Amino acid sequence: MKKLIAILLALSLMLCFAACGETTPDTPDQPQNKEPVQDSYSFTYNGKKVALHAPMTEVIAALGKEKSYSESASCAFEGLDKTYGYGSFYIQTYPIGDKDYVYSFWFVDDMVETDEGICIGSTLADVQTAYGTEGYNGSNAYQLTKGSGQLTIILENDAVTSIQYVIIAE
Amino acid sequence: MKKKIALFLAFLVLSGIVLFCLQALLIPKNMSGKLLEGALISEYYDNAGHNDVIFIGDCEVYENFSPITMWEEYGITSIIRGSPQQLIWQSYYLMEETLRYEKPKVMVFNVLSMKYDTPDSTKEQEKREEYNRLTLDGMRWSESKWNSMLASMSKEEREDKVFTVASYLLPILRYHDRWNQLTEEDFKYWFTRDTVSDNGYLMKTGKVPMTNHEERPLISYDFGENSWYYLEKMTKLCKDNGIELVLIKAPAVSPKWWPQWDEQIETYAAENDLLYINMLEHQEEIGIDWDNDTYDAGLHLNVYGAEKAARWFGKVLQEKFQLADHRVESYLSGIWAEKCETYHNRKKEMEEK
Amino acid sequence: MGITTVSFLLFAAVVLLGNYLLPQRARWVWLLIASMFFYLTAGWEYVIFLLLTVATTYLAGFLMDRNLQKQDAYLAENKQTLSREEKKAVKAKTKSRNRIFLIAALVINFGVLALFKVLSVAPFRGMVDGTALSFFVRIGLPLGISFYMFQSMGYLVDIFRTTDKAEKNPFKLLLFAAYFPQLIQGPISKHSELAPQLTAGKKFDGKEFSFGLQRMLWGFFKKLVIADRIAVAIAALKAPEFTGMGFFLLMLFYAVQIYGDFTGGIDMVIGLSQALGIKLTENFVRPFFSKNIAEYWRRWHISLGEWMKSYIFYPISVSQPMLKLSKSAREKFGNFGKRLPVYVASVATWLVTGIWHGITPNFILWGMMNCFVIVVSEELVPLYDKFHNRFGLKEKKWYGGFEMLRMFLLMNLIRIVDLFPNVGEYFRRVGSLVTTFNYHILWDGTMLNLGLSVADYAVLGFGIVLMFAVSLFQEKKGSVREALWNKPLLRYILVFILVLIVLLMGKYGVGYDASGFIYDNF
Repeated sequence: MKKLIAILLALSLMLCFAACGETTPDTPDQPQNKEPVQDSYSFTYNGKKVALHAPMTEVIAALGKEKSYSESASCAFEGLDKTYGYGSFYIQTYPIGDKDYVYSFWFVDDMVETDEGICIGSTLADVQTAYGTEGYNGSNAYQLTKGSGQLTIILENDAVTSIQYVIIAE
Repeated sequence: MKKKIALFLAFLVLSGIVLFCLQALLIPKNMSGKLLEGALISEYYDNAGHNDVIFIGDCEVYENFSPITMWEEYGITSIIRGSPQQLIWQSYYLMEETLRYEKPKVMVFNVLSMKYDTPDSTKEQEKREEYNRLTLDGMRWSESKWNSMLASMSKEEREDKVFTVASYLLPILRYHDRWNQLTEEDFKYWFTRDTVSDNGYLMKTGKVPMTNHEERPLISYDFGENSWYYLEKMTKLCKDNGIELVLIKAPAVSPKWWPQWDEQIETYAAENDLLYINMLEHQEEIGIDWDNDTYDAGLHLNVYGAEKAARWFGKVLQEKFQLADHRVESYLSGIWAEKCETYHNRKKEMEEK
Repeated sequence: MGITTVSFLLFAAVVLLGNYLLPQRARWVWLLIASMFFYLTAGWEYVIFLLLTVATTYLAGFLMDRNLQKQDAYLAENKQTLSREEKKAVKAKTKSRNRIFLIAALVINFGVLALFKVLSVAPFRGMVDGTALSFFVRIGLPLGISFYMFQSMGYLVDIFRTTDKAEKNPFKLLLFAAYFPQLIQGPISKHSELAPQLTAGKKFDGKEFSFGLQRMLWGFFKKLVIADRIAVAIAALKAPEFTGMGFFLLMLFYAVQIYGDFTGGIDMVIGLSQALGIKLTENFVRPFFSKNIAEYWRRWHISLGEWMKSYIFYPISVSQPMLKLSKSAREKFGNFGKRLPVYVASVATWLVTGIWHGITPNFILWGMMNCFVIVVSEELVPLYDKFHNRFGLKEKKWYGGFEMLRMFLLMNLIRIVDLFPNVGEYFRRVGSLVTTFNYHILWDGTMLNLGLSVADYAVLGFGIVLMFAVSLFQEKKGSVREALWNKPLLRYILVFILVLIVLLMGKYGVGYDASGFIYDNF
């Protein structure tokens, strides 16, 4: 009885507090989410989007079968890093359980470009127009981060020689 | 009162014994299954004392050279002190520790680990602590182990250094929660161990043809300060003890050994009057058949590849350093005959599987 | 240096050893050095605030004491010549002078505490970016600030009320504020009870020493084996999809966690002190055996309740405006009116208690719910008495059990409000108790997806039964340690088994993020 009354009255109290409810949480307690979050870099090839953290099966479904494939096990512990080659770019994965997710991709010729329009062979000026000056190390590389991803652009003699995206530890 | 104290002391001794036994039970045995690598370091002590050549390094040494072949071909006594993802300071301290047990003529160090400057720059960060364990737990206690432990601490381990040190001293603190994962193996090897390697060589007989391994180019190819520091320490240690230090890059195609790295090591070797051999450049002389001599598509050699590599490298060592042929010594031949038998039996058994 | 770390154990061992090796009169200095060392390892910036509190407390105490001494000397000198009214006037004058010092100290200290507390909340934190105040945000709440402030301010109020004497030696006052075991999570001690013990330099007593260590071990068990094990499931059950039965489980799990965490921590603190020969005030007396909320709050976090009662509730309920309110309310509402000021003081006290736990709607609601249940229970006493008498329920054993269960569930319902990001979410979950009947999660495998394995459930089940059995023994027969004292062999064996359980089944080490104590955040 006492409990029932208490709950009823507590509910009425809620109305008093409804006004100050719905604040943003101080420390949001996320459920233990094992599925990777897609909060990072992607690129588009032939109208198909490839993003870091994406399940590899979906990427293969979109891009078609890879042209080359290799895998490397880590010394001692379980888990295979797989590398899929598509001619102009490579995609590397990491495993969670029995599924593979995109860990990294990098471009090797000028048939692909970043969402900002940079490709192998672009000049430093192009890169600066596209990405600004932040993240430039002053000599030969750009490193930018977005979410859990990192974009690295390497230059040599005023020309981009490598464009790579990789997940960095959070 | 006296009775009370006696009871208390008896109780203390008894609890000590129980704790010791529990610890022995809980420590991973690595005698079967996927983590045989964890047993490698501790197997050295049973085979120390008469080795002319000591290999030190990561999986590129314990998978790519067969000491038995070097014995059978040239009578060279050698042993491998390898462990997975062994970092350069761990290699250095293993070298230092080795000198407590024997003084070899040649120390061979595989330079791939130069690429990792600090414990934080290795890949698979989340496993760093476990890798450290595979190298450190098997070592006997000495100043070298202590220093190696302090130099190796991963980010996770540095969070509570006192606990980490305590957990290396008393491994039960590390493995305490294995009580619900104990298997038959843990009871079988409670107080004893089998030998899983052949003088530090971990045999694999599988065959997976090599594939092309692509890697992302790097911003900078300069080795880190810390890596150089330990390479210099190795050089000095060997010089001071009259031991020849040989630097090698084992014949494995992945992880990639960048030409820029090769250049730096070459320069260093020349400056310090060391022998440096990039075995990738001698693949044809060695006779590696990449369709049949690797068990994981080019990352490591299988036993057939490792025998070829040992045959080629043994000859180089013998010619360069005039190593004695110990096959004429009856004492050593006796010991090695046994090792050879184990090796060939193991090989046969694995091939049949 | 967390209390469950190897570092702390080593530190405690050194402190214990040093304490008993030093001559008795030097021991308090040793404890002071140890406490300062402990405090410095938390962060040197924090020491500034500790010293600020101790300095203002010392100064205010000293000034009040001087006034009181002057007054006493004057009264003694003029004992014959002064009339009663004149004596009263002298005392009133001293009181009003002292009030200034007291208020100044309270304002400075609680001002600092309030600043830290306010700046620990998200919207306020952002406001001070780039200003000098961002220093407070950067360093965060100093270790034990609430505990040493509550103790120091309580001490000043006691001097003001002349129920305590001012401390002459500032270093002794510093030790009282900073005594390291209780800095971690209380209990909040009274100066008149704790300070003399701290400076006395107790002789070594084997039994007390042994009891202290045993109690620490028991605390380790509750914290590492129970509370830290169940924590992972609580994190999982907080996910929005767990309603109905899921929420009910969350309530039960949270009760287990907070009990293990908080009483375990206090056991370690009190145990260590006991080994040092210092008796701290008890903070919990088997709270889940309470039959009503008033009793619950006399058995749960006792020292905080006591503090709030002495220094918030009591001053408000006897203040002039309250007495006036009481008078006029009694005329209008009769008996209820007589109790009205008490209720007003209760609301104020619970508001403060809630806000102290955290400046969020959740904690304010938590305080108000507690207050509400207390007031309603109080008002319903006559009704209940009638009901109980009619059916003779009070004599029936099962009814006592029912009352405990009812209280346990009700407190779970109130306590859990702080787990949710906002008040709305809390009520959504509470509502789901009567709208969602998903009992199937108990056996459809959900339970094994919470991060706990079958072995974990077995350990938890065993641990809960053990804690319950020990509590029951204490409730019926008294101290377990006392009962074992004359059976050394059995005692050794039981202690060793408990050591093994903590060592093997405790949640600590690599791969496990040591979780701080829930109460460290206050």
